[in-house]
Order: sequence, then C-alpha cells, then structure tokens
Amino acid sequence: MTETLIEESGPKGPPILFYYAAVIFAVAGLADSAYLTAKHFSGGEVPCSIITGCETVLTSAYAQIFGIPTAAFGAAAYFAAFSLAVFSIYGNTRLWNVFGLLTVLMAAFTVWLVYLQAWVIGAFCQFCLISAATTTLLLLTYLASRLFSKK
Amino acid sequence: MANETQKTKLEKKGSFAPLIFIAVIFVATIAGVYVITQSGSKSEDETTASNSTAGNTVPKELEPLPNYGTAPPGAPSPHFKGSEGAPVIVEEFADFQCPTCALVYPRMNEVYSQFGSKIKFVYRNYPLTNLHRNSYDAAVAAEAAGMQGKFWDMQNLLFSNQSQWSNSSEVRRLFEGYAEKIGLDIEKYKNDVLGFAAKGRVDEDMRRARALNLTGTPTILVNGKVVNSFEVAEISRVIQSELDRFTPKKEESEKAPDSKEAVPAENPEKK
Repeated sequence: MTETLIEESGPKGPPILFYYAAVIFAVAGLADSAYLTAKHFSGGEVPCSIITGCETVLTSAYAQIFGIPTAAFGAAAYFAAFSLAVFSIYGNTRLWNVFGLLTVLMAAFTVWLVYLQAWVIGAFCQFCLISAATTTLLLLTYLASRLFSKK
Repeated sequence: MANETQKTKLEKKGSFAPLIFIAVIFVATIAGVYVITQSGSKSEDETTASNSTAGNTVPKELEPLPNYGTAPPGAPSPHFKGSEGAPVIVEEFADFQCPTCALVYPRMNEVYSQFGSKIKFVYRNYPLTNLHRNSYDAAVAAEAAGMQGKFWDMQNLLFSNQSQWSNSSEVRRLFEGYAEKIGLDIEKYKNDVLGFAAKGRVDEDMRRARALNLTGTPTILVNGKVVNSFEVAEISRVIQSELDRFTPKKEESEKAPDSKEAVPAENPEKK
C-alpha cells in the first residue's frame, strides 16, 4: 500500500526522497534535543567535559526561556518537523510548505543560539552544535526539495 | 479531478499510518527522556549504595589511572597545600572558567581543612580552551601571581568572580585589577603574564592532564584514583580510605612496603 502512495505523491511536488531525508534529520535533531532536555532536568553537577558538551552553555541564562529549557523548544520543533515530514510522505504534500516555514524559523533561532555561544557566553556546547547542524540540514533539505520539485 | 479524488482516498486509507508512526516516535522520545532523567539520579544512589555496602574494602573499587606513574609530571614544584611528603596526594585538575570547578572550589577548601598536613593537595591547570575562551588566560594569570607567591589568592579571586570575567573580552585588564587587589607588584605581574615561564607551567599541566586522558574538569585524583563525585563527604571518604591504607601499616611497612592491598576491617592498632 505504501508503495502505491509513494508513486502517487512522487510525481507531484518534490521527490519523496526529500521527505525521507527530512524524517531522518528531524529524528536525529529530536534525539539530540531530547537528550539535552533530559540532562537539564536530571540536574546534578556535570563536569565541564571536552566530550559531552559544556556546562557553561547549559547552565547559562540562555539555557531557559520563560522557565522552559531551550532544548525542550528544540525538541518540540524537531517533533513538529518530523510529523510534518511523515504526513508529507503519506501524501499530504501541502504540509511540506508548513515544514518549510518551520525550518526557516528553526534556522533563524539556531543562528541566534550559535551567536550567543560564540559571542555572549563565550563557550560552545557540542550537543547544541549538533542541533545547529541538523537544523541546517533540514533547511537545506527543504530548499533542495523546492529546487527539484516538479509542477 | 481524478487525481484529487484518488489522492483523498489514499489519504483516508493511510490516515492512521502516519499517526502511528508519529505516536511511536513521541512515546520513544518521552521514554528516552524519562530513562535518562532517572538514570542520572539513580547512578548517584547506586554508587553511594555500593560504597556503603562495600564498607572498608572500597579502595579496591577505585583503581589508579593506568598511566598515573608514567604520565608527564606537569609543572615542576606544583602549587600545593599541606605537607610535601604526605602519603596521600590529592591532585585537582581544574579550569578557572568551568562553572562546576567554581562550585567545587569551596568544597575542596573544606576537604583540605579536614585533612590539612596529612595530605598533599596539588592544584593543576587544565583549561579547556576549546570550550572556554578565557580559561587559558586565567590559568596564566594565576601562574603569574604564583611567581610572587600569591597563587592561592589569585585562584580565590578567579573562582569567586568567575561570572565577572568569563564572558569578558577585556580579561587582561580585569585580571590586572585582581593582581592589584592581592597586592602584587603589578609591573612584574604584567611581564610574567606575557612571558614564557607562566605559560610554560600551564602547558606542562595540560600535557599531564591530556596524557592521563582526563576528559573534563574538575577531575580529582587521590593517589591517582579518580573520585567519581564532587561531594565533600565522598571526596573525604576516598582520602580517608587512602590514609587508612598507609597509617596502620607503619609498623609493618618494613616488611611489606610494596603491598597495596586494602587493609582489612580490623585495625591492628585498635586491638
């Protein structure tokens, strides 16, 4: 059944491959930001580590927005992106445009977060940079899909 | 038209499939977050539990780092408190810009005040330069202060005022202010900060930390054994068990100085 669906949604809009790529990147981003959210709640004294990312960033004033961990916003956004990509796979291609809007917003937020790490906090957190990478990949996936989409 | 009706049919048919897919990922995420949150608090409980049940044989659990003896020694005549020849060497590798190090700093002072001259408490610089842009300069400032015998005063100011200088792009001026505060000869300090000697000391400590494969700060070594906690009670416990290994053996030390086995629960002196 899925095969027929793929064939159906294939000729319209972007090739289905892009949806799959988006799903993979969104799940990677979700895992990463969910991990950071969990770390935020588990608390404890995390050493400043050259492997797992740094406390400086995760304990900074920017680690929370309105009392909610920034990583949780990321997790919610990745989850939304994932859902939209899944619906797109199953033929609801209109949602792919919503996905595009979301990735643009996420990328803008990411630029701000990387700026904070580089210039305000003065420290980088590896897991936050992974998130920046996955968001960039999501945006690139969307832009590429527009480029290759058939009308 | 035909296409559209076909599409809506397909959407209806497959309408549950994406929802199931999404629900699975949602549940997996929540479960993952739950597991990590729980394991974080559990692991602490487990370690303390195992330690308490293990009782006096705990030192067997902690093993000295394999290359503790062979790693580069770090900066010569390191900054230390306590007594030079103490049998237990507590070596802290820290980064002045690391928040956890600043948090642990007063605790380490507390630990030191408990043992005093029974231990040799060594401070080593391990600035995580890829994470903290001012950490290296801070370490150099402390070493420069050390050249005028005021390393510990500078260490105190650096840790106590960490938030003041961590993000600053004018750390040199801030550190000079600290240097004046603790009464350093400011001209000598300025020269020492620029010179190779202070930097060289920091670099040698870093070389030691890297050779020991230390991945984070603070890392507290007690005779080469990594303490897996930043709690005063646990650090003290490890130090005490190391001390116990040496003190009751004084009488026997002539016979078996190399024996590194943990002393059994019965203390011969008490009997």
